[in-house]
Amino acid sequence: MVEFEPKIVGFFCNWCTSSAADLAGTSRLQYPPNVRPIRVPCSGTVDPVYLLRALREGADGVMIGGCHPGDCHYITGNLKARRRVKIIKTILESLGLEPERLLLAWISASEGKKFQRVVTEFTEKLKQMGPSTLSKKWK
Amino acid sequence: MKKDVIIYGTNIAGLRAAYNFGKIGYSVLLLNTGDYIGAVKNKLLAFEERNICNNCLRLAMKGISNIEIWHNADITGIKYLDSKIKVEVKHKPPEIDERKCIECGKCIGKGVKYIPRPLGGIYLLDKKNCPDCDELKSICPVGAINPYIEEKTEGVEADVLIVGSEYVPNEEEIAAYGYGKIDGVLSTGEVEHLFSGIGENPDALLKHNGEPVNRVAYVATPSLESKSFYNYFEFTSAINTALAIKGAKPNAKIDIYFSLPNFYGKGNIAYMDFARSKGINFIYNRKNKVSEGPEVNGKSYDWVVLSSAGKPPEKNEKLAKILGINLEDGYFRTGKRKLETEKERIFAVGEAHSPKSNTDSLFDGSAIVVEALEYLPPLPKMAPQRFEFRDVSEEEPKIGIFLCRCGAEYNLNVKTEEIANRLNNLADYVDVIDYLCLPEGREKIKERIKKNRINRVLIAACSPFLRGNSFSVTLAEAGLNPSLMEIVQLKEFGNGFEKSISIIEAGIEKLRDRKEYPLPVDNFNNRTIVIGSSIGAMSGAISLARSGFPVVILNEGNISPHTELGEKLLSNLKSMRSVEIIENVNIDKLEGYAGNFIVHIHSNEGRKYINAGAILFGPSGKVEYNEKDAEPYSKIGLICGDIVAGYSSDSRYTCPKAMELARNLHKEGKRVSIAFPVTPIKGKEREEWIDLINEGVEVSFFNPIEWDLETAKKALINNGAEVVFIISRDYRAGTALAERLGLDTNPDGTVKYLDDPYDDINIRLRPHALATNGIFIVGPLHKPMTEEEEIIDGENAAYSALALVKSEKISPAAGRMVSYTNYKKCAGCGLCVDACQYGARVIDVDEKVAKVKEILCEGCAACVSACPSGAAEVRLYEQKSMLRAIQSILK
Repeated sequence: MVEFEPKIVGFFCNWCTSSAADLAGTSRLQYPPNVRPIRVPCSGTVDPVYLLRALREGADGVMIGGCHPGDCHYITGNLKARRRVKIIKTILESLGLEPERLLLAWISASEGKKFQRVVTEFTEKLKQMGPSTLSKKWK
Repeated sequence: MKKDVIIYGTNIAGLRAAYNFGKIGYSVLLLNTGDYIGAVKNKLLAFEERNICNNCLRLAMKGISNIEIWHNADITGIKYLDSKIKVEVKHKPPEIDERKCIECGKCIGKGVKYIPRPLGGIYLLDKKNCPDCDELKSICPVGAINPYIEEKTEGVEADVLIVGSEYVPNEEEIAAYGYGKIDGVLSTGEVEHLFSGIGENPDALLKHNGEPVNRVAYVATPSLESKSFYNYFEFTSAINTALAIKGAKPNAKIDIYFSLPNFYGKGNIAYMDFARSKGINFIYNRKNKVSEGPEVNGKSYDWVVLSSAGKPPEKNEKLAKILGINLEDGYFRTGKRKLETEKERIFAVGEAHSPKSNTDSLFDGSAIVVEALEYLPPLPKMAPQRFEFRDVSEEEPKIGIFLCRCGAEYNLNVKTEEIANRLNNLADYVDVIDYLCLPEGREKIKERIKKNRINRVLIAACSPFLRGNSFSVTLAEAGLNPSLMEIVQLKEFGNGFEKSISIIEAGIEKLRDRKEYPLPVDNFNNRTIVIGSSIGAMSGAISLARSGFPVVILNEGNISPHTELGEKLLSNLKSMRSVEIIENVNIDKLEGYAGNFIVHIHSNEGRKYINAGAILFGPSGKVEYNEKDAEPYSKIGLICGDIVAGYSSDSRYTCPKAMELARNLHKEGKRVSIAFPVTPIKGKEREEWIDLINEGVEVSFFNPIEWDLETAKKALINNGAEVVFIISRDYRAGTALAERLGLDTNPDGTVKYLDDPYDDINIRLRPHALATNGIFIVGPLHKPMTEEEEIIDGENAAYSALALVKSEKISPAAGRMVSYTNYKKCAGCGLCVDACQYGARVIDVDEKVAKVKEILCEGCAACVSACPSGAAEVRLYEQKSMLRAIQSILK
């Protein structure tokens, strides 16, 4: 049997998490290629519509990567993201989807290894959870 | 060879100065003693990895072509010419030329070692593991490696030389605290490295034998020894990493042993209180002994972490001899001007000059530009490059994909052609080019764009942080607006064939309906308004006026400096033609933004509006003590220091004043005793206090943890004082003015600035952020400072203002990526106005829609996610294209 390979969309902020992914790449750290990155200016700009659209279009998980609290290039964008994610998780629950499929992580530009770890762990977790049922329900 | 400025050393101030001179257009030669920037530094101090300041500057400097860096460099001689200096420099260029290296990684492990760093790593020749250096030379596709490069000596003519040598604790000094000898003794830097990469994780807290770490002691080290000075980074970096340990393991027991309780930096006391509220224990002890165990003063711990203060750099001695300058206590602070040495045209900054904290050093790095201007040619005019763009609005979209072989194959075991084959159906033109970022590669892009009439360009290469700019220029040179380009990172992100394809496809979706966006431009008023008359404000005004820019000083009430220095500055200002002083006015309102401020004032003569490009905000404080008050008494007690009058007065200013006063009263034959909670001791000042004690003044100081004004008063009265005077500086009027003008203030009454409240702790070198706001805080409302330090503070602010007012036009920091409104959808609800951190969005009351002040927009897109009707958009990041990209990436 072919192992289930989850599809994950990663919204990575331009300043911290994208740079961490850069560092992981240039340091040649190995991590599963399941996360497909989309560079966004700031974690605070990730519109709930994007998250829900990604899940509806068949993503098994969505990851948002931002700067550590206090380090946001745009002052408080990451805090906005934190609030938003908390609310969306409750929405996911009411849609019958596990809130764990949405992950918000603070990964700074120098944390290449943390990037590797978070991506690997999230992928493993989604593998155990199996495919998302949302896309089937709502199509 | 000729340069405008030579900078020796890479301490924080030196680096900052190199960047600042380069940014305003002067040619700079930076001499680095190590083989890369960051190789020579105080390794005991933290804030290296997570705070990417050095990296940030390293990168910024790469982008400024008028900064040249020589590594492994030393000054071997100097000639003082009539109106120039000629410096003889011995240097050995690194075997891997960083200007040529494109970081393709082919040489790693084959004789080259790689140090990963965010935003571009460091490549060094690894001589031990370089079996065949000839082969190595041929591995490099761009000819950046020369294993046999030799040392050379060159003469360089320049207008000024700036010494920015670094303090590095020597091995002996650290070994005295068991570092490198006793198991379990580490540095704050190392603790930070442990968390770097994994975050605040208890897994990092393991001893060598694998046992968990539960008890940690911090010891502030060489500050105990003579000549050393207190860099409050020592204290804050200890607290910062201690908090990280607490975060990872909330029940860890942490003791911080500190030897000098002089943490006068802004917000430091609050930071310490915060740490105490988290359960971190502070122990004041003058002599701390680290022994086997590890133990501190006999108490046993799992880890002992060392945090270092500063000392004069050892290099100063040798250099001073070559330059023919006498040092003072090992420092270069010997000249008439603040940062100048005995010799004209030779300056010193940071810890090379005098005891400085990291933040002080940062200010030096900007203030030096203003001080050196006298010897330099007039400010260079930097005309922006102009390009003619082809109008593609009528053309059918024609997408061209350029794949960089280096970028695509870095992490993949596939040929770039295979990727190209898969993409053939998706774009009108697909091409593989060996090294896109090389001049030849960029020529090829240009040629192909023109030949094939391509009007949308997708570059699949490496990080836009590193090469984004050069590709934008390439597009512009090919006659295309750079907004018609999308960069997809394959080098770093593409770890998998399918993943690479999918992120390129998403890039195409983002590009498909991309439009040409102009670069917003705004005019810049070259006048600066200085509000207030603190020493810092006057120093800033003088510096700006000297550079020929108009200055208006506004002051509520009369300008009456209480000190000699203040009087001198004021008479200086009054004699300057480009300075207008307006006293006794009410300042009502501050409107506008960088480049276009309006200040509303009124007085008996009526209302007035003054325009300016930049604002220096520096109201002065009022010293409440009057010398006549002491006349009737013969036994006098004095108290100075922070928080003595119910608001934060500053010890940096008031304690030197108290010292002067004590000396005068003592000479009059009175008995004087002083109490202060926070000792403003920095190198030479400590000697002055000791002199004072020797003269017969009683000096006692209070441990700030137990500090209480009443206790101090009682102690002085019990000691026989008939009267106790509190020497404080009241700057509450300034705080009130700041609030009236809409500036945010801190609980201690200072004005919020940059990374407040802990700006001294958290400060970044942030080369860009500093200059865009347009309002610069100086004087007592900025941070605690002595009069001398305020002069540098004013010059620092003047530089920041100068870098702005010298340009007649400015563009937003985010370039073309600014927000706009789709008026058809906009309901005028104003949610985007609340979401915007920069005041870039306003509701147009007549049209009932949200409008954008493009120049203020930073492109964060907070408005996009706040807007319920989808009317707010950010250019290059339109919602439609984002949704298409999401859809495509999940195919």
